[in-house]
Parts: sequence; C-alpha cells; structure tokens
Amino acid sequence: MLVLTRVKEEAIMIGNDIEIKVLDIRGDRVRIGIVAPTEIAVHRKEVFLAIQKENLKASKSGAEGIDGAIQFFRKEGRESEEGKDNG
Amino acid sequence: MEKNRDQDAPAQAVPTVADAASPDAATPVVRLEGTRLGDIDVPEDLVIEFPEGILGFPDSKRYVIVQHPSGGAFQWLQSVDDPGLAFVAGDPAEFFDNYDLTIAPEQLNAIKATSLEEIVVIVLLVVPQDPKKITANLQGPVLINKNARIGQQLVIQSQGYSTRQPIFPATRGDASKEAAIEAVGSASASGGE
Repeated sequence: MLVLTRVKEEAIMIGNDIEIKVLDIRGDRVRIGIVAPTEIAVHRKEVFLAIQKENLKASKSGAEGIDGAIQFFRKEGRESEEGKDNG
Repeated sequence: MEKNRDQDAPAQAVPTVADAASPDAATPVVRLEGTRLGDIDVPEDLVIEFPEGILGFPDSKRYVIVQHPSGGAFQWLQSVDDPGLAFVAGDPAEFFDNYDLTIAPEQLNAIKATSLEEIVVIVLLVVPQDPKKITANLQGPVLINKNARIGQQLVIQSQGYSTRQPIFPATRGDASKEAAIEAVGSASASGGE
C-alpha cells in the first residue's frame, strides 16, 4: 500500500485521470472528493465488500433448496405464469 | 434513467440453455462437467461475457443462464469458465412490486447498451434449506445486454436497497428476526402483502 500524508485541500493523482482530494477534516471524519472517468466505478469499500460477501453466499446455494422454493413460491400464489400484478 | 417494473423484460428474454433448440453438429458447444445441474452442453452463442466478472470471482468472465429444471421464476447464472461456480438468480419483477432502479448512462455504456430496452436485470439469490428464507441481493443487481450478450454486476449504494431482501413476505407466525428486520429496513423494496 502506498501511504501519503495530506492536509486539507491537498490532492493525489492516480494515473492521469483520477484525482482524490481531501476537502475537509472534522474530528475523525474526512470528506474526500473524487474525480474519475465515468466508466470507473467508485464505491465505499464496505458496500463493495458486502456485495462480494453476499455473492459468495449465493454461489453456495444448493439445487435442492430451489425445488422446495418453487413449491413454496407456487403456494404463495405468485406464479410467474400469471404475469405481473400491476398489469 | 429510471427502469420501472413495466419496462422490465422478463429475464427469459435472454435465451437460456433450457430452451435452446438441440444444437446441430455445426453449432459450437461448450461442455460443462460437474456443475450443480450435472453435465450440460452450452451453445457458444448463448454465452454472456462479463468483462469485470462477478464481485468476488474475478477469474470467471463467461456465464450462461440456465433455466432450472422445474421451471418457475428461478434460474441459474452458470459460469462457463468454472463449471463448479453458479448462482441462483431470478427476475426481480417476479418477487418485488417496486424494485425501481436508476441506471446511469455510463452503466449502460459499460455493457454497450444505449437504451433500457436492450437490457434485462436479474438479481442473485441466496437459497438456504428453508425456502421461506430465500433472499435477493438488491444492492448488487446484474445487468445483461440481451443482444450483445454482455453483463455486469452493479453496485447500488444510494437507493436504500438491501443485500438480503427476503423474497417472500414474512410468514405468519414466523419468529425469524432476519426477515422482519430486513423487510422493515428496506421497506421500499418489500414484496407487498
């Protein structure tokens, strides 16, 4: 990991097109501004990790669970063949 | 751009392995052995490219949608690069009445689409033993360009959706806390009563 120390208003360039700027520091909160090309996704890391973790759980789902789910789904009366509720 | 329920094409609009006509000798086919659904032959032209893969699985870039044998609203997003890797998925419109996504132009561009009509949205499901406890990841929907066969998983952080939204409303008498907490916490995407 590259570690840099910045004070308020200072910035970091990543490549030619990505800029990270320290906008404000209050107590233990840092407000960070990010300029990046729109095709580069920028996310809070905890959100990214939460989705990754959920994907991992999803990848372990077993085929047996699905058949039970389909039966349950039908009993709930939300048959996919009936089409959408709101029309 | 808002993608509302009425604009959703059913996920079956992406041709799936179950309804492909039996490939003739000339159709290139990929054989996947040892998947959760057994050995399956996948016509090459049904393969969907995921340039960024699915979060957590960066090495798998090619997937195909396989209809679950019993049919219904459940499908499999099956990796072609890794036969052991597959996700249960479904059309969110089957489970939720008001899962509205705001899709930015750059998110469409990422899968080479220029309009909402070209894409389908599916959500990945966690399926435990108890079917009442199935949850959908509404914070990480998968967008697929139907014609170009390109897909990407989006990360939605600003719209208050849950990574674990139960697809069935809490069953009467069900004391499980998870379903109640998640349903209350993400009321905007509840399945309705």
